[in-house]
Amino acid sequence: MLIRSLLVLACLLACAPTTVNSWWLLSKADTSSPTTANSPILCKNVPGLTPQQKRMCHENPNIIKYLISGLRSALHTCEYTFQREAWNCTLTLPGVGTSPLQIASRESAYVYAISAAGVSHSLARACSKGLIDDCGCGETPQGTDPTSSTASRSPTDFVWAGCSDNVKFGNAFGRKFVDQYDRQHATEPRSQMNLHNNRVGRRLLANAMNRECKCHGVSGSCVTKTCWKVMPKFDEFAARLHEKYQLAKLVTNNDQKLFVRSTPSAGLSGRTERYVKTLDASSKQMRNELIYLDASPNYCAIDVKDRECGDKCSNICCGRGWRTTREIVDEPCHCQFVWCCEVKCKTCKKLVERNFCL
Amino acid sequence: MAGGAVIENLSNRKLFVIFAGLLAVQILFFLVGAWYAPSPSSYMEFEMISCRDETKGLSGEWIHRDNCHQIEELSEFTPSSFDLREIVFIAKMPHARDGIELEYSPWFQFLLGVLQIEVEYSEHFKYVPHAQIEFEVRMGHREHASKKNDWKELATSNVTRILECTIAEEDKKDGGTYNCDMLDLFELGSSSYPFYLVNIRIPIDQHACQYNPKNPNCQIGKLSGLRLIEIHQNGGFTLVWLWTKTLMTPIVGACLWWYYNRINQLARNPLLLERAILYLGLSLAILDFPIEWISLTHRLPFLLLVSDLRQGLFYTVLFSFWLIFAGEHLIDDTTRNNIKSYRFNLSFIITASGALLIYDLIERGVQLYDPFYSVWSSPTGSQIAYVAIFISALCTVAYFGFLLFKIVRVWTTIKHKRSAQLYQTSENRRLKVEGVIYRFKFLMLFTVLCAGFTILAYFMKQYGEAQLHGDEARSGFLTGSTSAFFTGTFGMCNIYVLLLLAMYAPSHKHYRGATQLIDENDDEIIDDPSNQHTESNAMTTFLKPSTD
Repeated sequence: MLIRSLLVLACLLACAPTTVNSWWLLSKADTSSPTTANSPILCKNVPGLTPQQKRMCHENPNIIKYLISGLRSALHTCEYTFQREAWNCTLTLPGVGTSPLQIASRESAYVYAISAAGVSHSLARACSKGLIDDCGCGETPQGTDPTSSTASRSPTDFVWAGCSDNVKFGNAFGRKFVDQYDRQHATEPRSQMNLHNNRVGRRLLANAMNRECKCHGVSGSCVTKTCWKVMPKFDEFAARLHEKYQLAKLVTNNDQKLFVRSTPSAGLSGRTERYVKTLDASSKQMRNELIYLDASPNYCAIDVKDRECGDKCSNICCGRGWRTTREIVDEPCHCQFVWCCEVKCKTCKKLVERNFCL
Repeated sequence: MAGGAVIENLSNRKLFVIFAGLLAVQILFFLVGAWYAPSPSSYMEFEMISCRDETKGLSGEWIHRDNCHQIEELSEFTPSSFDLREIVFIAKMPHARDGIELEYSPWFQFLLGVLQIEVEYSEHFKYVPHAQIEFEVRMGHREHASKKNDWKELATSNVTRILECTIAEEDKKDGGTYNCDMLDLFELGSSSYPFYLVNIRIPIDQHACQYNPKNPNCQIGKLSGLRLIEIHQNGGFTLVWLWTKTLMTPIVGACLWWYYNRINQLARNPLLLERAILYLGLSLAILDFPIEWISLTHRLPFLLLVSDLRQGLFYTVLFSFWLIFAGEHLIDDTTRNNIKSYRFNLSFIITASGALLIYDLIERGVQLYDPFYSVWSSPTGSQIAYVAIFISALCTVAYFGFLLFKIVRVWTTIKHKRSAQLYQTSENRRLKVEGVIYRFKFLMLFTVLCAGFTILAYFMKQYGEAQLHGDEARSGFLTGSTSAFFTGTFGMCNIYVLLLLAMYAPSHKHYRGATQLIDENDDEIIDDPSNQHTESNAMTTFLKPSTD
């Protein structure tokens, strides 16, 4: 397993002769053993980090730990979401000959958005668990270094007006770490696209938060009411992002700015069909839309042999046909009830049909 | 009726000046709330860390972040026991932020915690609606000076609650989550310790579950985590609140003293209405008295209850006052000036406030001993609570119905009297009736104005709170409106009562005592606003007033 992931790393390096923005390789970093988890060695081992990223990684090992786990769960969720589509969220495509992230496709846009959001999500959860002491209160924007103390104000501020936020720290740290490379290359269209999609991911996550309230006035009346925001489950967020992926907008680069040629669909608004509007990608309408620069590569060029394709085989197998296997599997049944963790089940046999591409 | 109140003897100009002044003060109250005070309360969210405790809590050791063997994913954890007492959910309050350990302050006045249970859908562990959930909660506290993990027991309790969850039909697959109502966990009437630690265990008795699945924790489904939300009053709000109270108390006290002397100087016994106003002023003084200052240095958990009681008292007296005020202005009613004639209507207010008092005494009273107590947790308790709230709601509606009926009656009487022009023959009598009408109309208008302001402020508050939910939280004009609502309505209450005390005190200019016949200063009466809408001809033949 380790060898394979090393191979993946090696291939990516070979495939990417220029130092591309590959901070997401951190997701492959090994955090399983406790000795490496908190040690700065971890950061040195990851290729493709900019010097600033390495410094941040070195200085905040505790935060990086949660950043990595967020990244992992983002990529995991991506794989789960796309398991029934032609591109199954693989970040290495031997068949195409290049990493899909290097093509500025809508898949690339999705990966950037979900990774940025995954990092924010994970850091916010760690903050609300009290596992990161450096989380801020949200109101005062952090300085250049998230660990630097704007802190002297913090306790009095807390007494005066509370400290409720868990999300902004995650967003701020994520912005600083994840966007690092692209911010340095902000004139390049590809970097602009990445920055935009990262922002969209974070913003969508913030917008997906639910509000809950508690009334605590006299005799429990709602005269006094306190409301808070609840982080959505990451799966729920991923489903929303998947919708955005399907509606992602193609942009063109013009004079260091990205523009959308909006071609309104005839069904929705017949009137605007006559105009071809150009929209600045940073405009308000585009703030919640994923953007991409290039068309997607042909994912059918990938070797899909033996890939399980469920009920979407005609799509996934690219017309190469598929086979169905029937097998008898053991399934837990007649399980006994325990609230969280323990399952006491009998095993039952069940016939399962599975489809695989040829 | 009193021969004349101050209000009847004020010129339009004076009245206008007073009103403008009060409006300015009112706006000041709003602005203090909107600009200076932070929002009244804030929260902190604690996603509880799940830890493994091999001693199963028998050692009595506190589990905290530093000795926690964290369970990353509950569903992947294989416990070594059947009762699952080895899983502990912990939260240390408050969080550290910006690398600094934050502390709770006595300024927070109260701390309350609600618990959100996260339940995942699972084929095997089915959640059954209205399942009982029981936890063992330990709450510890730590002093500022004590060592980092030197926790002392604050309260321990077995808490039983009813878990109400819903799930959409399409989410009924593995990984789908239930939407559960939050549970009240604790309520502390004072925030006197800087740090708290919560340890929660959710034990299960397998045998009891086999015997009767309705036993606690048998049907709560697949738990995936606990989230604790702690709510407290903001220190900044407490400061502003306490100072407004402190500033208002001497003013109300002085005004009350003046009023008291004024009605005592009368040659007759004070009328019922005058006494009602006195009591209203008194209840306001009690409401205003800033007893909360003591809580900043001493531990007084009962202050939350006391503040509820004070508010209850004020509203009871205010509602009674409105009733008496309307009743006393029924000109032809001969049963006036007698509290007994209001028995029937007052009983509604007494019942309503009595029911709420009982509810509050049970809920907040018991919480003094057991912070984890909630009336709503047991079926009988919630029945009592529902009945109490239902009765008081019913009585309040009935009360307002009667009040409206009374007001309509007063209006029709006034109209009738006006159109009949019955009093043209007796100028003094006419003036008296006009005075009664004027006093009534003035208070009506003023009350409606205040009610309108309150409702407007309430909607502003709702709008401001809704704005915080928007795309990106804007710090707009109305986001501070919650505090503005509280300071504003508080100021309004004060102004309302102060104005009543000042305006409805018996005037020493005219009619000193009900039996005084001759007015010594008639030209002012003509200038008086109460007269401006009558065709007052200065036909001043004072005849003997009716001994009404």
